[in-house]
Amino acid sequence: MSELRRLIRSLWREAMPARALRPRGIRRRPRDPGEAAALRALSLRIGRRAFATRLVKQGPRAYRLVSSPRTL
Amino acid sequence: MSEDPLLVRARADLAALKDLASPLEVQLRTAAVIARVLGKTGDSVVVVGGSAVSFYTGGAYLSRDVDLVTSVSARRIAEVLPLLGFERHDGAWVHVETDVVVDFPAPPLAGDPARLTRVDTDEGPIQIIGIEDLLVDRLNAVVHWNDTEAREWCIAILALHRDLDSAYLQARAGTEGVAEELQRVTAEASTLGPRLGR
Repeated sequence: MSELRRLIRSLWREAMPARALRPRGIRRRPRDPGEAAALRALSLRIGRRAFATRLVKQGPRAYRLVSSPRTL
Repeated sequence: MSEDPLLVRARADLAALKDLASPLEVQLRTAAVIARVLGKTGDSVVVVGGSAVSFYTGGAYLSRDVDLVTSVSARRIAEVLPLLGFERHDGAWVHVETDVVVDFPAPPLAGDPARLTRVDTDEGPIQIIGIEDLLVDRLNAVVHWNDTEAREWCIAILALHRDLDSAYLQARAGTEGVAEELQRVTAEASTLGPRLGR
């Protein structure tokens, strides 16, 4: 590895320590515990809202999708 | 010779979806139109994979494509999909107006056909793989591929839904060797507040 590359990498790691420590790979979603908890709560909020509004339960294993108005 | 009215209406229904903002809604309604056309011979069409996760999480998870398992032959699919406005790109079907990507994983369905979820849409009904079978599929990804993303979505699904067939889920998880992981994600999900009612 060239000196220049080593220098760039060390500067980058210094500038972005959190990102540099994360493992790579598209299937991984490494997060610190606070970030993970916040994302989990957000997912549940989105899900609960959808099942309270657009995905209406009609019986066991049966739902109705409420069509939304065209907004785009 | 005039075109089949079923195909004309299906093509118009799909084109009309391009103005919708919700990706989940566009995917489900697209699947319903395809099921209406492919299923007219009595064949089943079932949503599986990421788009099923998307449904059971109420759209919190966004799937890149719609995976449909069907008993319809690949030849018949290749005849019909272009008539509905789809083009073939790298093995998947892409709708030219909505950009919805549809894929057809090889059958059989990796789950119990008696436990499918039915969703009625303006375009007709669509069937989705049973929640228990989907969970087992995702737990396999967690255990065998170390798929931490899938683990999060298992927890979300378990936290959102309580109308699961626990006995069936545990039996399938045991058969697949993912029972311990099921216990762990269930425990984590139980700390996340009330689940949806029946």
